[in-house]
Amino acid sequence: MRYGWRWGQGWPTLRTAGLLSFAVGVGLVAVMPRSVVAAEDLTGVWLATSPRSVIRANRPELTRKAQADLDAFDPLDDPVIRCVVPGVPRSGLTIYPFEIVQTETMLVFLYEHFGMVRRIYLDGRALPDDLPPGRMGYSLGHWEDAELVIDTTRFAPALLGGDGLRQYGDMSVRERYRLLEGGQVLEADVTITAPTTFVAPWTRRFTWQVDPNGMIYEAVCDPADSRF
Amino acid sequence: MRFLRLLCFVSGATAAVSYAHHSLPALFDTSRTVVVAGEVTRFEFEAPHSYIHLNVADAAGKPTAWQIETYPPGMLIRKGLTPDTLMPGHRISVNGNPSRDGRPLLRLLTIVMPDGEERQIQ
Repeated sequence: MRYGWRWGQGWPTLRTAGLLSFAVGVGLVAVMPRSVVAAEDLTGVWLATSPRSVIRANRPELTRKAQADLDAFDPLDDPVIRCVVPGVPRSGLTIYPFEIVQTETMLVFLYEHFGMVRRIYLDGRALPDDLPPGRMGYSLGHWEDAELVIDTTRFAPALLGGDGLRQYGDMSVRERYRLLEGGQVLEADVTITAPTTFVAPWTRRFTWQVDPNGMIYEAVCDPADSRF
Repeated sequence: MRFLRLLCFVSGATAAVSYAHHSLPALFDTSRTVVVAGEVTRFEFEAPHSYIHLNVADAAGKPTAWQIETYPPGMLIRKGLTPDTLMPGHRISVNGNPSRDGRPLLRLLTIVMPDGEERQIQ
């Protein structure tokens, strides 16, 4: 069998053809959209391990409008009292666990708190032009090396906390998730950009530990269950 | 004034507003903690909040019925609390945030179980 190939001297040998095919394959992977190349598998139930102190950590200065609304807030006006879904990022980062179901083109976050559901699209789709704003927003994700980057926009105005801190519909949230400690720990840097609320973006770090029991419990909320 | 309005709502025979899933700052003073100890009379293991009903005796031995509010079942199970772990007659002590209006209601932070073990809940 001949080895190698010279220009103009016939078809390449099998070995050369194999090397060329491999090179083409590597090239195709290199230019493929990042979103379809999953670097990690985040599937599992994740128990929140962040301390309560992280909830208000690093909070930037509020705008005058946000501070005025915060000062005037009446907790009785909180929609959560009526079992309205708190949405993210108000909920979902501390205390209550969530389950991640991952495919090649999507992640689904299933939160125990209020049974909230988030879909993170990884297939490179564009944000729909006519999408109405909502409490969960619309999430597009992609992989950057071993980190999952999620960008969420199209939030409806809502509270960011039970104290009355509010975002006014101009919020965007970027989350960067990474697996640590052999896949037992999930860590995320979460940055909220809401110019009508904060004078600067707000970044906090949250952590979760995998739950080997893999159980998400139902946590219903019935506004008819009047106790007080 | 807002919390006086809250008190008026809740002290009436018929509540006009539902607080099934209340906002934390609406009911509890999270800047303070108190400790109460007594005998369990009932353990409501349910969502959105579980409640431990506790008879707490004063210095003269007169009991007052307290409600200790805590997590829904899923979170309590993960912390080792199930309906069988707190039964009527069990003696416990609890540390928590008091209610703003002074009623015998506590948001549970830590609990000393009947066997003396202390557990961090919040």
